[in-house]
Amino acid sequence: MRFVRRTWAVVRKDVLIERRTKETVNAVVFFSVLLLFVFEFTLGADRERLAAVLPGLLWLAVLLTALLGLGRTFVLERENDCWEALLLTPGDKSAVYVGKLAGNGLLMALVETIVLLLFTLFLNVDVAGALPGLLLVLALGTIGIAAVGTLFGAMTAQVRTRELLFPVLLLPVLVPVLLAIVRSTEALLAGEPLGAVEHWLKLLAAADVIYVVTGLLTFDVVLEG
Amino acid sequence: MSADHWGFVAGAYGVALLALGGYWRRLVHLERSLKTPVLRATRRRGLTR
Amino acid sequence: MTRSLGIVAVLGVVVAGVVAFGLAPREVTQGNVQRIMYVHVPAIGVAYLAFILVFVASITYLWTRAPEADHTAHAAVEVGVLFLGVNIATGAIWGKPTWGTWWTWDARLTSAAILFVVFVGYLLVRGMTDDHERGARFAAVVGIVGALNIPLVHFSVYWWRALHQPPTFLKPGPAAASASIGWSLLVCFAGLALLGAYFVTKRYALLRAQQQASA
Repeated sequence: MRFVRRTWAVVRKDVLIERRTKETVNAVVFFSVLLLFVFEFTLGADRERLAAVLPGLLWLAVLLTALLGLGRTFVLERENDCWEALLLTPGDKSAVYVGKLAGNGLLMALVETIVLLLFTLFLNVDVAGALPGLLLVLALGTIGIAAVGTLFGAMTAQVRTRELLFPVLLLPVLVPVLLAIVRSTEALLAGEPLGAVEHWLKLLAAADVIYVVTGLLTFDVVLEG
Repeated sequence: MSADHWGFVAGAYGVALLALGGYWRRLVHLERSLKTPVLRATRRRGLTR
Repeated sequence: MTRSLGIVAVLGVVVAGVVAFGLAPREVTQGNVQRIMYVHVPAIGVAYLAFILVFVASITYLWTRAPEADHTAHAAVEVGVLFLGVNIATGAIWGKPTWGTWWTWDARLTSAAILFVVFVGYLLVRGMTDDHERGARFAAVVGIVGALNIPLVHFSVYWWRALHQPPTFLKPGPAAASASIGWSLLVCFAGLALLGAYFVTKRYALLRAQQQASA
């Protein structure tokens, strides 16, 4: 129970701070709108080509925006001298990991909603039919991205070159998850049933388990002085 | 009868030899650089005969 | 001991070369360009062995904090990245006459490239962290995540390509129908594995000496 309380404390703190400062949310919203413009400018002329690469663009937008947000997971603690307080958390620090992971999950859910909305409005994507399957893909993918992103975020927060190191570490590791998400989205948007992407979903589930368990087991190590 | 492309074969093996040989050389350089300061230090401390 | 391993390794590589060019037959469908496989395929095999070692050593390091484990992991990553690079480069050079382009995003090359970047990241983490012990800890975590990721990379890339390219491109090298080709590959793998083992051993010794010198 203490674990859940601690986790909830972390989530509440981050959501509260974000609600007041709106730092990350504003940057994220603005960035995704910017990306939308860039995609339209670079690919908009050929409508057919745009339609073909839409799933990839969708997730590219989510990933790039997520990179912004995930990299900042622990920056608040670093900048406001709360890092030591984090290290001094008694007992198992994995509650902090889960709390931060949940917070990042919420952030990514927000990003995905915004991107999907923007794409539906401006780039004419019809998600209605595929929505249930898409939500499952989104959920599984988000957990995986957030799990690794939180772990690596904690790591890179302590390094001088964090803006460089974070994406360099995160993106190659996330390639399987990205492939799975994009292929699944592509198939679902083309009208295929959920069963057709079953292998991708299994891969995402396996990745999620691997990443979360690894995060839980190694987070203490990463946070050590 | 397909062409043999010996040039590409040579290129591939050449690249491999360069990479592996280059790493070998790096190990040798590292070893050398590790040995010399130690020698100097021991000499200073008068431990070498 | 390391020196004798080095001598054996060189011998192994020489034997491998003799087999690859002298004893292995001229392949029927591809011609002699297929001989590139005798360095391309064993290289990835050695790399995988190295990354398995990285996985075990990294976990050991996080569990025991023994510097020996850290040195082993570090050495193994360097050697793994090295052989991975050889695999990718020779694969591309084989691909040019065979497929017409230097790079096709086929399953094998793409997987190898992804792993290459992941484990270069391991080396970057070590280099960019000021405190050596912290860098070792972080690198171990990256090593574990990277190694666990290998099967995920394989499946995802294979499935991704499966729809777009005929299966023949996905089989490693030539179809192992010929026994002599199989044997030749094995000998070349043994030779390169000996070289890899020597590299890891030597690098480990140098890392240990480096640590002791700065102590």
